Amino acid sequence: MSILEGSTLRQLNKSFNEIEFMKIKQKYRNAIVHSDGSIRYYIDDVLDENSIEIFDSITNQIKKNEIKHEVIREYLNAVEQLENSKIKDKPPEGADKLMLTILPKDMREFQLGDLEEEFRTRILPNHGLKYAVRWYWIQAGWAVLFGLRSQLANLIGLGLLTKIASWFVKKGG
Amino acid sequence: MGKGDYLGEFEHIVLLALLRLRDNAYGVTIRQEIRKRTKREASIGSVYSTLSRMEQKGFVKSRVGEATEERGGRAKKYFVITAKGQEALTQTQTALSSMSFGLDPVLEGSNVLKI
Repeated sequence: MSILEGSTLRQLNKSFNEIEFMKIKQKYRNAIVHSDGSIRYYIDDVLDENSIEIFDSITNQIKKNEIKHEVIREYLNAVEQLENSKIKDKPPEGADKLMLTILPKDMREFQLGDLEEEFRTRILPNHGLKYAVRWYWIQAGWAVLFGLRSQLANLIGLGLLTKIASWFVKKGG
Repeated sequence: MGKGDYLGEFEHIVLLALLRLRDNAYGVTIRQEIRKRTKREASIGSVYSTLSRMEQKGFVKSRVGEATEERGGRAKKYFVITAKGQEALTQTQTALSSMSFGLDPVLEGSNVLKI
């Protein structure tokens, strides 16, 4: 949803060509521009003190009508940083894919959900991203090993059943 | 009660965790409870593998719960102990108590009891 409102940004449109503005619009899709010209980016969970400072500085320049290409670039970089940090806060995709491939269907969603919940609520806030990612990979590794073990046990069980069945068939024949 | 109905050490621990957690027993809380009480880090794989085995034996039953954002929109799976599981737990607890009866000094690390 694009919430581009307020005269200040409309004025911006005049200073940039159409393509440039579309790029900005795309980047501003989660931002709200208040009537006083202030901007708040709507990812509260990743909005840290540093980002607020950047936004406030840009807001001031919007108010003073001092918007220039460089300022917008700075803003876009800040938005990109926020988006990247949001992506980085996710559990490692590779580990998820590994679990999705190997774990039995009936359990994989629950195990993935549990790991993600612990990753976000306990590990990441207490130990930081680097530790959290390593922790996630280790947990995924164990989950995969247990998954493989149970699949192997099923296969052996199936093999044994097949042998018994063929023995009965032979006896009957 | 058959021979196969005795609980393994980790099965025993997981069932006790389910009893403590009542209707809030799912992967995360079970692991948390085990960590808190035994100071032992149980992997998610071992917990689910044990729960799955006990579900096949009829010691526990499960239901699918709500999905939350912090879980990436994935649902929880809640587990509760069944009457059969309760019976297996009591049997194992009784067997352990009988076997450890009179061995407190030894188990507590004292050398008082000499055979």
